[in-house]
Amino acid sequence: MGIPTVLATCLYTVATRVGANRIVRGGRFHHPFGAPEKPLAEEYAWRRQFVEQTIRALCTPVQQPTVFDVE
Amino acid sequence: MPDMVRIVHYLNAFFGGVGGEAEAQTPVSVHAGALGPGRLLEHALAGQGQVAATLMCGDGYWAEHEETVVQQVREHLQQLKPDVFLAGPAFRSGRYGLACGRLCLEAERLGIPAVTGMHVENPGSDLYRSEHVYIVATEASAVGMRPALERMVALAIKRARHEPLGTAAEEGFLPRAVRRTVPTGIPAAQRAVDMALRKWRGEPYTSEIAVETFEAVPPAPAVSNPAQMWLALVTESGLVRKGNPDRLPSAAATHWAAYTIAGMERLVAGEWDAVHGGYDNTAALQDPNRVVPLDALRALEREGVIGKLDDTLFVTVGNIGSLNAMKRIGAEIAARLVQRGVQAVVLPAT
Amino acid sequence: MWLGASGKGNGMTGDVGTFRLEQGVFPVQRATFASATHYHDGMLQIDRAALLGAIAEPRYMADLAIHLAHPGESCRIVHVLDTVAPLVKVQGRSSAYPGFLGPAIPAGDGRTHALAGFAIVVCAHFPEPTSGALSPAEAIIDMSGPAAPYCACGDTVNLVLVAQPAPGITNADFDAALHRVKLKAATYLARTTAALAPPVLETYELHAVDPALPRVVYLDQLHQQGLMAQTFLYGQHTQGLEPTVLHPNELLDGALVNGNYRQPGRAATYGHTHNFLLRELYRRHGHDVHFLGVVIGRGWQDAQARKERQGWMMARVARLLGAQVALLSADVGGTGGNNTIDFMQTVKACEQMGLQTVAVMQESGNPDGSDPTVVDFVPEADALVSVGGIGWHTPSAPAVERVIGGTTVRPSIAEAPRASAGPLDVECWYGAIWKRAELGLSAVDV
Repeated sequence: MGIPTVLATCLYTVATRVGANRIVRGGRFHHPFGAPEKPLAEEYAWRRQFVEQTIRALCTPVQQPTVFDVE
Repeated sequence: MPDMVRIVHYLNAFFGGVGGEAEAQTPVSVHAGALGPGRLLEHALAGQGQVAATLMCGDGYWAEHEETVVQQVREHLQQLKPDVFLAGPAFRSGRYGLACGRLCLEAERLGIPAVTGMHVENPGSDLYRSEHVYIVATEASAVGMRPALERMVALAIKRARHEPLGTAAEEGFLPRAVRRTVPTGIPAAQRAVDMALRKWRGEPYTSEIAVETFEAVPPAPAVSNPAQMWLALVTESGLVRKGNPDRLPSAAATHWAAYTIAGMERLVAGEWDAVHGGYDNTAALQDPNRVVPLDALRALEREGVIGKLDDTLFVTVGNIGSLNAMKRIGAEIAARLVQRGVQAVVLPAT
Repeated sequence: MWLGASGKGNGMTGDVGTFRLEQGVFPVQRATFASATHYHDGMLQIDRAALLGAIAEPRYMADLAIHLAHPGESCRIVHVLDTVAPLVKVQGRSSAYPGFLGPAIPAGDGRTHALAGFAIVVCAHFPEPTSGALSPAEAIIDMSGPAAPYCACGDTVNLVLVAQPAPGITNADFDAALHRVKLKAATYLARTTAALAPPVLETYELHAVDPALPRVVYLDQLHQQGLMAQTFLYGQHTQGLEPTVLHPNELLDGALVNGNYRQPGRAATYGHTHNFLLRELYRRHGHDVHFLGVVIGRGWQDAQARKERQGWMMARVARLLGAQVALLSADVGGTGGNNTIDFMQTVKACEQMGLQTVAVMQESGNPDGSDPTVVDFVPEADALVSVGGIGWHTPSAPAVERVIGGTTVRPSIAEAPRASAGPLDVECWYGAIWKRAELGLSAVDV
């Protein structure tokens, strides 16, 4: 289809094996964009940074399944 | 006395007797009766069937004009109406194997049972096994022509007559991503310890499960200017409006839902539920933005870092999802995205 | 390191830590309600009111109904949460189901009496709503009919406890009460045999064997995610569990109790005391294997790094025990979902540490069999035993005359509820996965 898609998950071995080409990894699988152990303001700042990394992955050319780390 | 099985056989130009430079440019041709190895095939049929016609095409031509060849072969098959379609065997010949696999798949789609043969390492094997095509395992070269044809014929006759088939191992075809639960008569624990002892002693053993491989997905080109990008959110986390109005299941989903997020600056706790049965949803229920990060994306949208966030959140449940159902769901959502002009997707997964 | 060497303690010599267990087995063919509780020659009579008086927890349960169901009856049990084998320790310092029914003193020695062919079945609905992973799933036992052979405890005489929560009680408190009630019932009924001579007396100990036999360890990955999806070790849930060595006798005595209600097919307290791999290894100890013992660990670690760590932590314990071969199962045969990753990471780590592994797995996918059947895989997983589950359709069950546990069932949250007593074409049969393991089902490519 040609729409760049970034998968946000922590289970990157499954993701790479099934052929997802842009994968950002972070968080736990209950909450890929959450860090509930942090105070709310800190958690939001972390989430925002993670989302920005997600956008950067969309803007990065890749040849094959690629994992972009956040932390 | 059962009816004679009517067969159409596909061969590449090399096996059809056309060699050298001409082979690559040979388009699809149809011949009455058997050609080349097709004669051995008829011998293996032992009077139970007949090769009504042979379709031939050069592998080079195939590589350049796959869709044209497919179209022409489909037309021939629809006219010839065989009881079963046989292709190859292709042994290790890669383009030939891909052609055989694809054409068998097309025959099946026309309702014609199909059988091919190739070596397990032929690229056509991996690709078309996962499409459930019947591929007889052959040796690496045409030295194995006779046994390959014999097994292909035996399988073809059963399929033509709609007779029940044995297992892949019994019939000699490669695992084709279809499995069935069967009784062994021996409890799992005993089989496990027996297998462990054979493995420890260095004796041969057969694993009861082998891995399936996934085909590579060509990556979509990167977004060049995020400030103009139209971005959509698609998730398998089962985040649904409270009350689960579309009744998404907690596992084995076969459908998806779309929820408006127009005008929302963030997802509000209490308005959403998380029904995916595979993760602890406590954190998600306290703050759904931990699964679908609408708050952060809206901030980026306001600041012009991203162009526009689509008004719709697409949701399914990935827990114990059947691969085929998920492929269909993905294709349906993708079609909707393309229709809307969406240019990129963020897919939170749990 | 050798497990089960004879203990020489101070004071109470030999009554804890010997890991030599005698198990007296008393078969039950029939049970009835009567004016006194009594076991004789395969017949168990139960004073229902006295039993209720002994186990009830009125603070947590508004009602506790007690029913009996026999194999062959046109009877269906719904909303099954767990099944428990009746056990009582008649000699020894510990207890059956230690940590719940007594202090967490190491079990697996002395003498335990067991009622065979009999199970306590617990059914209930939780008072507070649940969703996501930490939700109980419908689970059904048919006592006769085409689906019965594929249900765990479809072939045992069952004492069914149907519990109603007291008003205002939390799920956590209700769950804790359910565990206490089911285990009290299990021991109360087994106690009918306390003064009797067992018709069958089996001795379980890991005696010394021919040193040439392969040293085998059983790696048991437990289900632990949170309330509704947990396993207890000596009375405590295993959320923070690091791989732990257990003598197989400890499992026989009920050191592991099930609190996982997520998937109807897998795990049960009964499945832990009757663990199929453990029993096979014990049977063959000294013949063709040297059974070293059990290593338990928890699956469902919630991040990839923790899953990889889990694999190494299990493998290192197995290695330190001196194992050469490791047999693995998860959730008593029920791999599936992302706990398959923890499982595969354990296989990988064991192989990389020089252990030969065989892993037992179940397969899931389309009923027509056309899907990749396991969620995750590592190349080291080259010796797998399947208990099937793919391309499988349990025969549909007809309407039944009697239902215990509830008048409607809801096989999945996406479907509307339907009458429990009616015909059922479902795949939520209780304990189906480890039942398939025992039946010897597997899967083949077709």
